[in-house]
Amino acid sequence: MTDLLAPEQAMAARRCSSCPKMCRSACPTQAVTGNERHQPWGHARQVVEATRHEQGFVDPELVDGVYACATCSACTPPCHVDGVETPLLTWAARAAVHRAGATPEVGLEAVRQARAGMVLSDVPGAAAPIQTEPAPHWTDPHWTDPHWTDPSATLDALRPMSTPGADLVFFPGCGALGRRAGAVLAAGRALQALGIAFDVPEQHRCCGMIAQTFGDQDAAAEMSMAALHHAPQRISVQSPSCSYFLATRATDATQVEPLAATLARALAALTPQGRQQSPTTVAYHDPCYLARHQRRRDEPRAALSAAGYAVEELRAHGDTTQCSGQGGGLPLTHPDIAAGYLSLLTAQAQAAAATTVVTGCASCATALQSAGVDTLELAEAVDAALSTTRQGTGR
Amino acid sequence: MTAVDAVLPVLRAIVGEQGVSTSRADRAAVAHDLWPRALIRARQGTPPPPPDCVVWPRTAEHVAQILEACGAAHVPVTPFGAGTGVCGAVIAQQGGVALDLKRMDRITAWDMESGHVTVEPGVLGIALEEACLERGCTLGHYPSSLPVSTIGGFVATRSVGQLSTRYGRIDDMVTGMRVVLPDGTMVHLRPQPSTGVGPDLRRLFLGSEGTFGVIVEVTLRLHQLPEHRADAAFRFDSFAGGVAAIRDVMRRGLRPSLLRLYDPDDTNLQVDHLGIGSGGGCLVLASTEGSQAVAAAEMAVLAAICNNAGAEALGPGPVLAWYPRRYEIGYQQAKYLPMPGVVLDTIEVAAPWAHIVAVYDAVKESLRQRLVVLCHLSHGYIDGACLYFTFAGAAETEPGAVPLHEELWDTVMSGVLANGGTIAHHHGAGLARAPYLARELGEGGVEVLRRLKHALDPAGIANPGKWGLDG
Repeated sequence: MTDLLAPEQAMAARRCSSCPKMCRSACPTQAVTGNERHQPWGHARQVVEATRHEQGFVDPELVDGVYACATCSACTPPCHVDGVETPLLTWAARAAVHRAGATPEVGLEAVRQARAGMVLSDVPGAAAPIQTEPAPHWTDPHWTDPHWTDPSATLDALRPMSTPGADLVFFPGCGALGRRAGAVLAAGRALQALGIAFDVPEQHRCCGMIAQTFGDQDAAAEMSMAALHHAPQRISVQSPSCSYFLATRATDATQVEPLAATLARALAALTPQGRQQSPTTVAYHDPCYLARHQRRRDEPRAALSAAGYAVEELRAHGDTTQCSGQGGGLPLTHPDIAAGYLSLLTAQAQAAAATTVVTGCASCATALQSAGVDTLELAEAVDAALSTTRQGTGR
Repeated sequence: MTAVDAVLPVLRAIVGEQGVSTSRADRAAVAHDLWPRALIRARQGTPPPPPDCVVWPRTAEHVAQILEACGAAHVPVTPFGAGTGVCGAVIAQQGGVALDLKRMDRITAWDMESGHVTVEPGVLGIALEEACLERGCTLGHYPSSLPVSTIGGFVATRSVGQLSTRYGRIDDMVTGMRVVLPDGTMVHLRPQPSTGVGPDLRRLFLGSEGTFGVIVEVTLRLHQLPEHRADAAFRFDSFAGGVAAIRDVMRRGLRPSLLRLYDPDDTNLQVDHLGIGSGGGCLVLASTEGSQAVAAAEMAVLAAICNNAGAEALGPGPVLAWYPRRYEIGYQQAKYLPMPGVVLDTIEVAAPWAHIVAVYDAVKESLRQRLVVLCHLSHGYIDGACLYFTFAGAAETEPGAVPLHEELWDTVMSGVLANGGTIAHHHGAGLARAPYLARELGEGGVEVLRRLKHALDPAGIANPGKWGLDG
């Protein structure tokens, strides 16, 4: 089964599994489970083993291993092994699993729903599964009965704030649309208040990250191409994993940036009178797809400062930020481990002096909120500050 | 039904369903540590056989109940920390239970007045050090494996950190511990600065590698963070010249935190890493710590010794370049170890000053025709020091890698013993050093270990097969 994995990733797996586990202390899955297998070294070891056997990539234990990861990239900063980029190895292993026909059914269903324009939501009343036939090699003990919804209503509510034909397209992404529609509308209000003309996609199209997550690279390519085709010039993306993925797929003709960057640039131009006058202290949580995958640490903080907030750092931030466990399909395949990630982050949020946490990711915000932490998504925080200013100045 | 099958329901009753696994992948992940011979065998597709199951206790009481149950069923129990040992101590040679202690990862008490911290064995070294730093103190224990190893592993293998010349080895840091004996009996050795009651029982379990029991709690000494650190590097013409200077430093009562002497081959390897401009000679890195006046005065004496010995002063730059790279040795292993035939290893030994150059010469000369052999001297004592050798090379064929590795060990161990050294300084014994224990300890010494083992573990379930005690 060696041919299911690209040669450079097969070598990466051999090198990773020969490392003395240098990223162990950074890996949240390892911190949650304490299981020696559940760290990049252990997963790479399983991948190497899979390449040695005819049915290696359909082995349920291998599948379990490569999916016990939020792809948060916490392992990347401490990894100095030539030729190893752990998230790339994880996606390559998941692609090999997919080609072998062993992708977890929950992942196949997620891709089907995403292709149909649906988004994963916490709200009951989901669409019926499009296909429920289980994959032959996967028996998932943690099936979570995910809910899928049509986000059209949110886009319709956003449309009155938009400027049809504007060269900037605001792309909320599945995470924001599905899990925190209010943050999408807050972003629209903030952009409007800042005088930034934006267009809204005619209909929601998944960027393809979810297909990448579940190893369907053909679907990922097709979906990203479709999403970019309908927003060809400048795209401001709210969901961090979507901005990461679209930026890796965009051509030079298309500029993709996180919404945090768009907001920070506009807020920097605000006059002091336009800013909130009584700073509220908030703790900022770096989402892993924004802070690590895209190395966007300054813009969210700059946006918050310009909006009039004083920013407190969580104990782990920047390179070492704690993932909320919402990425990489983890809540679908391993909700227990995802919950463990969230517990680690919640403990940090509760240790902060500030009573409100702001995060640049709607999924993180919703997860933190569900854990009892008073949380705002970045656009919500900016919108609230601008709204206060408008009321204060009578505008 | 095997003995393990019979005990599994009992184990699940103790730690719950989530605390026991018979999964092939979970067992394979704890089948071995980073012992290079096991890694080579894993590369060849024939790693050591895994244990029959993995059990994750969360409390000392769990450990006691597990050992009691396994003792009654004659099921072997092998403790497992982070699996970063390099001597095969965690290989469950007779199968049974791998007791993975990483879910016992709490820091349970701080006694800042005494300067003690009490932890469970699964706490990662780096996590404890970070917690210490938040409180303005340090453990002072900085092995290159700090980010990846556990406190329990440090204690069970008698680990030594890079700054041991000032802070001591882990043996010197342990003030108390709780240990569960193989029959489930709990032993609590209360934390004390020093005690004169008979033999020091803490020393019985330090380095015992799970053969006398399972360490379930450790109390360690804390040090106040130094106000100041002074750094300096020097270049000596010869290794023997550097050794003489370091001996002088130690004899005059100086206790630099960092004191390393690289041999010519190792010095050449550091040219780019540490920015020393050119190769040649033998590099010395030194740091002193304390209040500004003390650190500066200690460094002044150290520098005078080096200067009087004819060393070239290189300034603090190489030391400053060394600190950020101090834990990175493992990355090179990851790059080369997957290649067929490749053999990489490190072996740390020690010797009194009277023998240290002879031990160094013997090891270098015996292997330099076949392997790259690097050496640095570290961990100075008033009467001797540690020599840390790094070996790299390749057998002509992949099947020749294990025999080459065996030859490497035989050669080094024999050379050290023949020239008056000790075969281990801080990596423990495990399986790697088992064949040489009788020559190290003498038949009398091995007999003491054998009788202790039998007295404490009559059922023979505690990490059996290590040190060659089980026949």
